[in-house]
Amino acid sequence: MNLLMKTKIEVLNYIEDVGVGSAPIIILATLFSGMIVSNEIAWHMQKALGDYSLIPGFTAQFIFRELGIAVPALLLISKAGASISATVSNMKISEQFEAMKIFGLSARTYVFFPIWIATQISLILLTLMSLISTLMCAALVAVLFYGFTWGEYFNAVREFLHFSDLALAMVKAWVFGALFPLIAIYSGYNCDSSAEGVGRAATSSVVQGTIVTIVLDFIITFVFTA
Amino acid sequence: MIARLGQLSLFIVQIHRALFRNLSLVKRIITVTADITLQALPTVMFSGAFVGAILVLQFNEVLSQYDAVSFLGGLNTSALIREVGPLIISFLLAGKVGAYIAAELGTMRVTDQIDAIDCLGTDSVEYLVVPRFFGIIGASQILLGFGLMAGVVGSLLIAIYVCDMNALQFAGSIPRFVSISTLISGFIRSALYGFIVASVSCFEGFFATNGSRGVGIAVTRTAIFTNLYIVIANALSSQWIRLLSGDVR
Amino acid sequence: MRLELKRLQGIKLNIRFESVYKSFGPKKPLNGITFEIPHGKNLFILGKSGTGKSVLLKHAVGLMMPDEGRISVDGKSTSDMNREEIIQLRKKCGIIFQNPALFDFLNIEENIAFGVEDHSGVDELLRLMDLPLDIKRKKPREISFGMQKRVAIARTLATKPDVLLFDEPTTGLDPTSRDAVNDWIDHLHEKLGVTQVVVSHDMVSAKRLAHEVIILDQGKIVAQGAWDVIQSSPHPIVKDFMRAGFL
Repeated sequence: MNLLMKTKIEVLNYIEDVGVGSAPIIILATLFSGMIVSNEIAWHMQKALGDYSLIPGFTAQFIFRELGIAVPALLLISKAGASISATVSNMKISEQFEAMKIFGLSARTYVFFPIWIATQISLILLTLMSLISTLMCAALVAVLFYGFTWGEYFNAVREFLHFSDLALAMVKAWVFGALFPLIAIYSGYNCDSSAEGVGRAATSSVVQGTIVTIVLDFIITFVFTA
Repeated sequence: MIARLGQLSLFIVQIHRALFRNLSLVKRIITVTADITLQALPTVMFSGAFVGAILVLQFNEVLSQYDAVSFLGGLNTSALIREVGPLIISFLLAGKVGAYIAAELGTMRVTDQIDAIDCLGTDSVEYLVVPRFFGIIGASQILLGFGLMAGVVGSLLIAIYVCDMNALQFAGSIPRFVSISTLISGFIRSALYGFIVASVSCFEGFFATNGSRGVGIAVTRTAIFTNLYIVIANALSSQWIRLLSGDVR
Repeated sequence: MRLELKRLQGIKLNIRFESVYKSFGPKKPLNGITFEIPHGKNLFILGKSGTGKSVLLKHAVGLMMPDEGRISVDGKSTSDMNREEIIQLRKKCGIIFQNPALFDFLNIEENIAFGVEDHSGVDELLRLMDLPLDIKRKKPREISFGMQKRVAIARTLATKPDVLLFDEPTTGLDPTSRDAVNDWIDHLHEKLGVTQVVVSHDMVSAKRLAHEVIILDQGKIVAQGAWDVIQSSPHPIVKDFMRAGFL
């Protein structure tokens, strides 16, 4: 019971660290990406079909299937991935894991597990926020520059979006959120004990996390579309 | 935050002055560019191919609802060159090279190596920072070229084997969306993002403090701030990059 | 390059700190410091950790500039020097950092020759520092920590400095290694007659080697003079320090 309480508190702490700490930059990035995607799709629609009527559906689907998930995931990987790996490797260098062993505590329960759970929860919540903020910003651009009203826009969106889109987005966020902290913890825990080692661990955790996420994204997309 | 931005701009000015003071650095810059390119090339091409593949799958899914699959090739290539390619490549450049250079310079700073260079009468900015700074920008251009090629190949493969198109159908709609100005705009973007990655990573590494903990902080800050600035630059530059590359609606 | 060791004795560099102030936010590592580095002697600057000893060294070679006051080198203030003059000053004052600070992307030979871009004096410097010649092609991480420290000294000596500045050379070393480093400082003084400034909180070394001692506390000089003078100083900080054996 005591252990459970402790873990819960740790998880909350890490959510604050990882999730809340990353929220401002991720929200900002998703707002901008909403703006850009609206503009880009409008430009391409104009070129291909000569009118703007399909903007809402196209944009909403693109956001819910790819953009609104990939942007927060990649940003969180580079921010939290680097800092998780740096935290773990600094704990290793300052011999905190040895100290834990002496007190009979396991790093897995007290450090790694809470981080792992916290990143999953954080990424799912961040993705949810990102979907909303990207879509809102995309809608704002469409209303301001491409002559839609809010009502028209969201009616069109409702036609093209299904609950399954949201569900799949959450599954993706959960998978990404569960995988990259493992990579970050692993590379942090196995770093060389020097300033150079800390840097190298952080770097490799970001790169490997990004690549694995991109490949996984492809696999999930492939399975669910083909 | 604002004070740090000020320091960053001063640092960038200092780097450029060091280059113009000593143009013989160009040779070192070329070597470093080659190093960085080789170091990041496999990652960039691998991810580029997968990103192209994801994009094609998603576009195919959406376009087939409107019976507009014939636009797939053009739409996909255009998005790749204009937006997705430069973004993904700068992202990987930041993660792989930017973070590495921040760690490298940070390690040298906290182990007094940078002070030692200055004390032995060599300018540490000239010796360490200038080659890396311009090397990153140069590499961002070359990597974009290769990354885009991998991306297009990846999309083409998926288009052929999953979306039942042949190569000609895929390529047929490309000229409608892609012209030389599209390419120019992609490369301008990539240079801009490369500049951001270069300045932030060199700055954070060069001014790291506090031992191995400080190196970790430098890497983390590089990861955060390159992405932040790239996102902002992306949004702010859309319009004038279009003008600059002659790609006007 | 033939390293003319005698040459080191000849030239005298006159470094004076004149009421130097420096602060970082609320911290004031240098709070009105005035002293002169004596020629051909071992000057020990002692103080607790974080009292601005390293900052002081960095001021002496223009890696940092004072907020107020001036550091004059042969009559010229470091803040008035142009880039060229600062570079010349740094070549004349060798700093040996607390870390060996060897460049890990270069081998030992390239490290030693870094400041002069001339490899002909490397062997002589290695011999001077009692290092085997076969380490030349090795990378710094392949040799022992003690050797790295000696290579760092050799690298600094290559630029033929007139003053050697040591930043906490014995901190974090075990007693045997500490004695070895002190032997080196003594040895260099005897052999080259070079002016040496040692920043430290190790009073055992100071007692053994110092010709003159300066004790810093909170950015100010609280005692100055030869060892006997310091020993009988009434200042409470100095008394504490004498009792504890280190600061």
